[in-house]
Amino acid sequence: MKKFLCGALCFLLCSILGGCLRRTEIADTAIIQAVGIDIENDEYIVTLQKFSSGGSGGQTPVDIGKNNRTILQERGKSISEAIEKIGLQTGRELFLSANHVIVIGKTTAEQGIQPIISFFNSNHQTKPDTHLLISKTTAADIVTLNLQQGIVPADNINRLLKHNSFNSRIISTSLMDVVSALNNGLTDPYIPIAEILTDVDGNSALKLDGTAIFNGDKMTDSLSPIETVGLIFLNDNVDMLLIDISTPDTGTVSLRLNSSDTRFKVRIENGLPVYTVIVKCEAAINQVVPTNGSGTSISQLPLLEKAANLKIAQLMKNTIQKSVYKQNCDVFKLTKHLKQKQPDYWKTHLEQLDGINSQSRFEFIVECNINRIGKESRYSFTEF
Amino acid sequence: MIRTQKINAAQLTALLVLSRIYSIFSYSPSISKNFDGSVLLLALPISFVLTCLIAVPCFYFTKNRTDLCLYQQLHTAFPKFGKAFGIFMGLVFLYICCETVSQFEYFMTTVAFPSKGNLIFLILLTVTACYFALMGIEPIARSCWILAFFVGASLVFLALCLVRDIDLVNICSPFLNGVKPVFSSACIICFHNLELIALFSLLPNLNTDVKKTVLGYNLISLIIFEIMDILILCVLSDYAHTRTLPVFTLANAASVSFMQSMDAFYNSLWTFIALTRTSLYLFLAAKTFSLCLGWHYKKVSVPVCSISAAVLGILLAKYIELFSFTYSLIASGVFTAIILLVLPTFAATANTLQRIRQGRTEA
Repeated sequence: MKKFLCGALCFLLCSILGGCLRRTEIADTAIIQAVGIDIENDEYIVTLQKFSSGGSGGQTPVDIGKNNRTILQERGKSISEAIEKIGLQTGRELFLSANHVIVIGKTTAEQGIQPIISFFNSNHQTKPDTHLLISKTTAADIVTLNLQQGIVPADNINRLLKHNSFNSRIISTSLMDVVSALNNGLTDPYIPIAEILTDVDGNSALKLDGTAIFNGDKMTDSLSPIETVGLIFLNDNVDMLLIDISTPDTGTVSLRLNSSDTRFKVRIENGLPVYTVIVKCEAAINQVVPTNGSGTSISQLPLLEKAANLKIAQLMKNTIQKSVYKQNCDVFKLTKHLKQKQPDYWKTHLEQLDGINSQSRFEFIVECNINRIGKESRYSFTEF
Repeated sequence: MIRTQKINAAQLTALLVLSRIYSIFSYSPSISKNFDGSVLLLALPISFVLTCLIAVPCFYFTKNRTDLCLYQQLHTAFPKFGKAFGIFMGLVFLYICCETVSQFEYFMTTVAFPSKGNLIFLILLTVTACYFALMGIEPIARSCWILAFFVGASLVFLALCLVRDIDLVNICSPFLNGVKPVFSSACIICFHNLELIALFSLLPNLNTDVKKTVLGYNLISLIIFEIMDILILCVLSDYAHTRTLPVFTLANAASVSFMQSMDAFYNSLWTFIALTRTSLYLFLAAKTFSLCLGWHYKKVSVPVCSISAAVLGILLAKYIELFSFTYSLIASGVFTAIILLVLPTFAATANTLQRIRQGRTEA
């Protein structure tokens, strides 16, 4: 009898305790895929890209031929206010956990991103690895962009970021990276820049075009795509990179860098830090553009390696020139390297660190080892 | 009275390790002391040595009568103050239990289910822990052994997922601000080791060597703490200082293949670890009160302790200042110092003096 009563009680509990907390049905949830933030007349303009099956006129629950999204936009004195207005307007609970990307307008970024970052950092739904983008025009332009490929436009943005990052054309910046840089007071953040292009058919497409660099929380300048490659080397983020090398003897050779490792050494000379940047990379020949019908000889590999070394060093020099000497931005964690390698110097110069980097010197040691010559041998390597 | 259940070395180690790592799972820079990650890398091994050292007086005091728990041995040494010691130790265990319950509630309503009612978490945890305590230490330790396997595997998995995000530039000299922060952090970690008190209070239930267990559980805890510290320092870096619960953020940031986040995984582990710790200290509180005040273990002691833990837990969870104070009182090391250092040293000295006096009288 006791066992029967216990069993009956368990059954009863199972049926009445279906959930202890208030639950939200999917139909009552607005799944946000991308967020755009602009500031105009001291007001935040929040643009949200909401996942909406058949949002652009599709007939089935998810129409792969259509953009399954709806755009929501509101203004407010704060981001919270604008988002709350959108929530009230849609009558649904906004769900930010599926958000892929936060886009910030360029003029907004120039005014300072701290309040924006702070909102997302304290929001319990936003994931720390959410990507950030700077729009060359307004954030709303990117978020409302009617990208034709894929099921959801925000997915496309995410894919574009991942692909460009894997090909070492940008460094994909997450919310966590920016909060870290803003919080430590030593280093500065950087965020990829996106712009809208129109192709020959009149369709809009998104292009990642360089990197915005910040001094504190304010965007001060932007690095061109070529300078961004220097930034990637300096931050030790090269996954795979194609670079073209041209010399009078070898013609143009396209190298594929398969791995790269960047290290910093720091010494103090005449009271100022000297940073030695050591880059070691493994490369393979991807393509040889023959000059006068002849290919490149295998004996010319050291020549190519030397040319590659010079090119990589030059890429880094250009980036340092703009970010460190011109804008006084620490986007390579220089101060952290200084703290790690010269702790006594770092401690005694804590107050003046902001100006020290722009007076410091840089040396480069690049060792590019070409260890594969590719599949084609007839035209590329005449000795074969 | 309660039947003396015996637990083996593996079960005991699992029980103590799980209870110990609760402190790193619930570590919150906003509530507790903000440790520097680089300093901790060195402070942790030092705290390991210190922990072994502070266990020495208690070990020598209790080594001859392993059939009696620490409270019973103190009672034998100081019969006049026996009840006072018992009440004090029982209250300490109850206090740790309340702290665990409120930490659990704080976590649940901060990151897992924000803006949801808090009573349900407290009640569910306390009721389950009460059931565990009624069953005794053996079932608690047995379930810990299984849970420890999952916790270990999950931590390894989490670490592997985050290895590619490690940036060693965040590690700097632990002596950047001198030697003091290293040793003060080591002392705080050492005196925060309440599981030593639990170990000496479980003496009659042990089927194993105390020395080896002290070394074993501290060594495993040290390895887990070091791994978590390296991950927080090198993956989250300065982002960790802006988060209420850095370890949860770590799980949130970890992703592999189709698993885009491991926070749900972390939630379930955290819940089980909280349950283990609450059950352990509820059992110890109820057992100590039962021995000291003569309460019936199952009918009086466990229900009274469970209700007290739930009520005090609700109060602590409601007032964040009180909650922070509770944590800082435990972190101050006052309980560990009194129970593990002061009382056994006095008792051992008193025993020695008594023996000398007896020797003189006989002479």
